[in-house]
Amino acid sequence: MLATISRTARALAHDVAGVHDDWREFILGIGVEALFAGALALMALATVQLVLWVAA
Amino acid sequence: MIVRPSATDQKLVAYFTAKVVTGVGMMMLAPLATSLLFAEWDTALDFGIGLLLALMLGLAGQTAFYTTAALRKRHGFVVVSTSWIAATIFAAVPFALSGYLGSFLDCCFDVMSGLTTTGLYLLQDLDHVPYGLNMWRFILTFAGGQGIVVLALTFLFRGVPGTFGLYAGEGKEERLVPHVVGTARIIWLISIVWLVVGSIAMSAALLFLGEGPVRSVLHGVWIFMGAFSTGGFAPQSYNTFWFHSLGFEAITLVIMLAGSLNFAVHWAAWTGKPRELFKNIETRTFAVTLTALIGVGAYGLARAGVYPQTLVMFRKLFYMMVSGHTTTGFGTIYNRTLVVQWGPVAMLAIIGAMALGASSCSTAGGIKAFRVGIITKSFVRSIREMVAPDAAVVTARYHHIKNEFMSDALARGAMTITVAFVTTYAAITLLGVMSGYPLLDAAFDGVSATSNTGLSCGVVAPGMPWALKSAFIVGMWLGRMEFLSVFALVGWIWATARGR
Repeated sequence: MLATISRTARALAHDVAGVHDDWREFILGIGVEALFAGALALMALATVQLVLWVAA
Repeated sequence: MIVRPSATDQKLVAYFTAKVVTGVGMMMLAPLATSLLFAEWDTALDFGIGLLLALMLGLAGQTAFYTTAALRKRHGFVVVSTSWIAATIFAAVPFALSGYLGSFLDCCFDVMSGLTTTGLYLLQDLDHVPYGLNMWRFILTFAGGQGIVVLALTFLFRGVPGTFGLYAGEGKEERLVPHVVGTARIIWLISIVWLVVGSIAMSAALLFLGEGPVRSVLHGVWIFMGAFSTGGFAPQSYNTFWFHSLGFEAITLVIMLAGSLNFAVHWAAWTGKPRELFKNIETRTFAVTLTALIGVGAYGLARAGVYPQTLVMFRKLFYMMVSGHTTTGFGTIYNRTLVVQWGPVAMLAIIGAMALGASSCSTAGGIKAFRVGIITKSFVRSIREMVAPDAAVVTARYHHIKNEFMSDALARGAMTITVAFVTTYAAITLLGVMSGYPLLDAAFDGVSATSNTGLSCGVVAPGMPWALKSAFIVGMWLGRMEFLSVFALVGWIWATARGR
């Protein structure tokens, strides 16, 4: 079992280390995910403004 | 006729459950090392005892029930259920030895809350808990978010045939690559990359806010784990309200939302298809329901007149609604503020957000945006069928990684799980009311537990009745397993008792 854990941990470490090969795409991916959060925040802010304007 | 599971079937279930128990023991190495590093000798001893107990019984179980029989899908679902029960009991041992909780039931409550990424807790004096014990809380929530069986699939079950039942039993049916173990590895890869990026961002923010270097790193990693696993545990009793920082809130918001995304959507965005984020049925449904519920919440807060400034209201409301909708459970207001100041309309909006939840195949809980999207499309298709000519064939399509036609079976499946969720929300609310809590308070905390969110308006406390604590434990478990594995276990027990 320890051999299995060791082999998988090495494979996972290799996967993580291999990230630098595709780092531009990964950073772009994380950036787009942050952009998605920003878009949601803007939609929410517009909604709050609209509701307050109507309620007033 | 009900077929009784054979002795080999029982051995298979016991063998794989014992493997997961061994894995839980190995997970205790991290808090043990933390305790030793910070010279917390009593805590180190607690973890030493817990680790030895889990390893001894886990390895003894693997030896006693060793079998080479093939694992089938029906075994997988039962193994997942028994593994979660066993993991909860063994992971609770260090909590029980620590003396920070009132009873073993409270310990099981906190462990189940951590593993299911709920975030409710009964632990007392949280602000003075040793580093080792806090590390254990966050390891539980991070491992539970990815799935303890996914963890075992990655590290312990390599080369075992029939592992799809194990994977699907934990509420993740999506395959990112054809091979299940490969999928589990990608899930861990995404989580580890986010762990590195998110922890650096959080630690830097905390350092900037004036925390010491050690606390910045530890709290940075822990809060990342709490946010990305949509768990909601925090190292302070005031949760994220403790920091009073806009920058901190912005970073946690991004991490909460990232944690609530489907791992398949992450993988698409990271492998050259970033537009998937804006086309996917889940992200679109989530955006629509979040915006609508924020509108309702804003109306409630405006009526209550709590926040005279729009931006202050937006900051509080957006954070709480995202926290509720992603089923994270971080909060930037006091628990009782919900009841005393926010009022019923805003509370109902948050209950709605928690009940719906976020993406499937993510760390989030609740009904899930995919099912909400499919049910909505099913309604629209039914209306179109009513107005279309008799001979017309009305179809519905949706986009999830690729364009797909919606089948009746898919809509039926989504409806079945949704009905199961709504029934459980209602039952647990009823139990709360029967225990003497006001309806809205009981509904808020009941839905929060079952949807694995973790926001509380004050019902969850060490003094709550034991029957309600037990119901919340079952609710958290049912919600995380999405019912199927638990039903499989009930069926298995029934077949063992009454089958032939």
